Amino acid sequence: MLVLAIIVPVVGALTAFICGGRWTERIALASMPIGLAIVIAILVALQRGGAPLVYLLGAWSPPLGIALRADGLSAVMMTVTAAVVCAVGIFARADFRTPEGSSEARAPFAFWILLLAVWGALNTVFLGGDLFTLYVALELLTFAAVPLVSLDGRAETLQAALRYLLFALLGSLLYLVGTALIYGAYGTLDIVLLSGLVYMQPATVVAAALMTVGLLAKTALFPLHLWLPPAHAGAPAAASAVLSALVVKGSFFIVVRL
Amino acid sequence: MSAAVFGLCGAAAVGLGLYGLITHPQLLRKILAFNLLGAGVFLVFGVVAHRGAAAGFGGDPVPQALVITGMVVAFAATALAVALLLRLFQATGSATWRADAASQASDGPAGT
Repeated sequence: MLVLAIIVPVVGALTAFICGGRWTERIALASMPIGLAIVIAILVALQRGGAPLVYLLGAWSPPLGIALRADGLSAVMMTVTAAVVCAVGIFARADFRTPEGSSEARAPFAFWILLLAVWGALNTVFLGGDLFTLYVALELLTFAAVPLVSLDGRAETLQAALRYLLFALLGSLLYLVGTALIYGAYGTLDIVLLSGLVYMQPATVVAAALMTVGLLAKTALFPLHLWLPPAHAGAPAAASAVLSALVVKGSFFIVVRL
Repeated sequence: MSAAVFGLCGAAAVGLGLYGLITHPQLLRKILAFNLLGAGVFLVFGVVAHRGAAAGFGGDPVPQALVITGMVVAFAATALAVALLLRLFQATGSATWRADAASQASDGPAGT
């Protein structure tokens, strides 16, 4: 069931891309209640079970396989994400409706697909059980959020989007260096296994410092906040809501995890 | 060649890339510096793979898988950044960092 929470937005984004035209908006709006229902189901199952839900990809258990874990924090964040995405979707219908008489317009097409992609990436961030899955999810989040900034194509928004991209990529690379150091020190990237193995040594401290700095760059905490005002000022209203509410919180969530 | 030499080269590449990313105003150079930074990080991954090599294996396969994934991600990121840069150049006629990009856009390409 955890996999469904990731798959529904991603499949929605892909089908919306293929169908094009007015269908992008319909598919996006249709997949929102489905995603919301799945997330609420996860929340209910978690409360009933009392222990974190774990899903092993390919039935291979760590340290060789990749695990998706949903504990209390993940479930709450996913529910909030689904609620915000649904609210944004309803609000954005006014801004991003394909005009009558044309079969497809550029901005609505891109917006709905990117909204679903951001949602899928966020769910992966909240469910990822090892550091490298989190890295991939973080990159997905960045690639889906950057075009949202420059959706109207003006010069300032393009520059703001490029600045956001470079800052975010720097953050991802610092996170990756921290991951490399942790793997070199402990031999595993699974978070549950690491929590049992970690002890204070220079490698751990340096890795933690690097990863925190990298993630803070993506969260736009001072002093790495320079990309945020131009990006949010330039983005259309609905996109800005998604960006400020969810995207920056995704990277902060990973800081909390670590 | 011991792994330490590769590790130091990786660290030097990371340092140079970071310097280039932060200081150069030309956006294309920033993108190139980001690629250099990525190459340094992957080299560090390679050193980690060598240190984790058990007897009988050439190198620990997990960091190699991570490097391949990282290269794909960096390639996609570079493609996105270059596409944005091209569009910015079409809109403003310059590929340098400008604090007043709006007035640049009103001038139009080539300042006509």
